Amino acid sequence: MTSVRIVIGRLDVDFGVEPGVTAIFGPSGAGKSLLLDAIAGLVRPDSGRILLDDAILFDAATEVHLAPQRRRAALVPQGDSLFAGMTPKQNLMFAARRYPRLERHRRVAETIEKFQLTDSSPRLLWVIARALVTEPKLLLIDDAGLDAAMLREIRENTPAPVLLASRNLDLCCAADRMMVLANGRILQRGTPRQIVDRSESLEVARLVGIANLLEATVGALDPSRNSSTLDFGHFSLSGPYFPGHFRGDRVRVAVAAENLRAHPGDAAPGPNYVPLELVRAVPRAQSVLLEFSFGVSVALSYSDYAPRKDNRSWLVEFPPEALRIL
Amino acid sequence: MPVDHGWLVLGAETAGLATACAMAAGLPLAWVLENRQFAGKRAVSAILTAAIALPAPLLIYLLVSRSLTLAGMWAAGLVAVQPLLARQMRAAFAGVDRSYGKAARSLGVPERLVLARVELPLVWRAAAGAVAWALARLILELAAAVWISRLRE
Repeated sequence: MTSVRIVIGRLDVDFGVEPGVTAIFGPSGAGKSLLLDAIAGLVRPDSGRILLDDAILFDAATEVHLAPQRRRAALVPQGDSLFAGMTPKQNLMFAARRYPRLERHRRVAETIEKFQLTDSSPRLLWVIARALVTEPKLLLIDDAGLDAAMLREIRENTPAPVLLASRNLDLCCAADRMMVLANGRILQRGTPRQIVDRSESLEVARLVGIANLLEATVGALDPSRNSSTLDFGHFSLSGPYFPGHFRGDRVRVAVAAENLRAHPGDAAPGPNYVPLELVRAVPRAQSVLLEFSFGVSVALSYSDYAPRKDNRSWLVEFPPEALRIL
Repeated sequence: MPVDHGWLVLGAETAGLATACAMAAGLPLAWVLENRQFAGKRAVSAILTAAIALPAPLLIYLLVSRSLTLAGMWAAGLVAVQPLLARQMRAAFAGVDRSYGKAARSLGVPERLVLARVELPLVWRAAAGAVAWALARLILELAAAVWISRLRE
């Protein structure tokens, strides 16, 4: 079992580490790097316990604090950390120095082959290979400028669990699991899909970039028909039944921009179709974000947007299942 | 008439030895002060800072007011440059990106190799500059002391 339960200043976390990649997502100053440093043994926590494969790395009660050299938790820090005065290959040899000479050469050659490393490979890939040549029990990656392709390579080339701290939501969404860390506390844990689609709090929704966080009043609730009515002031929407809420409650409704649909204004209106005025269209990497009146945003793929870009009027569809109350 | 350069050679030899010793002790001291937390760290730092004010009067006392010996010259040279070298090297280590040391330690690299193979290559220019400066200063001071001493004889 690998688990981390530590307190360092205002950082207070308790979680288990499972095989695969676990992303720690959070804004700058959330405590991500401090958490990784503590697991690596570079910072001593005030209290708590860190277990790695049932071995105690840190235990405040018994004053166990293993040196970083003995933890087998390899850290890929922020920035370029290839050691100066050595070639990238010498970096790998240096990292593998605890193995006998022949074994060392074999491991380095295998690692270079696995990652298909050449002189022109990104230095970050060399740093990751250097960390993995030591066969760590846990790989810690700190906001190092990784991309999804590199993450895939890491996943394929190590059986060790990976803890990845990053502010890059797209990268974190490529992980198997995700934790949202803010102000030293874990706000939510789950799969990236769960966190993005079912954010449990306004703070998480804001952090994961849910575009639509709209204030509404619960107009009606009918558990027998599994339905509700939400009044947004300028328009009303039908939604599913929301347990734990009462008629008249002021609530915050979260809807991901990707879950809304935008139709031409002359389309036949259906349930939860709302005529809205387009304020502007913001091009993004994969889609166009259409910003409508009343703070409603809809993400459209470029292929869907192209034939409609000259639309003067729009109908925005709010699928009932996409509405969530935070 | 042949010119006697013995005073200069003697000053240079003693200065070289004192600088080498100062660097051998100062480098690890600077690294430990920059990278480690320990009881008395502030006291050691304070002593190093205070020692910077000592050299000139101490040198005069050791070299001129008393009989000049090789050991005395070496000790005086060491006292003169050790604190300055240690402080310069500490400043150099402070400028090293901590991620190198973090990565190395997490890979199981022992502390002595973190210093020798990881961080020293990043500060060698600063180290060479500090040594050159210390050597030049000591050669001048020690050679002058030998010369004055011979004049008095």
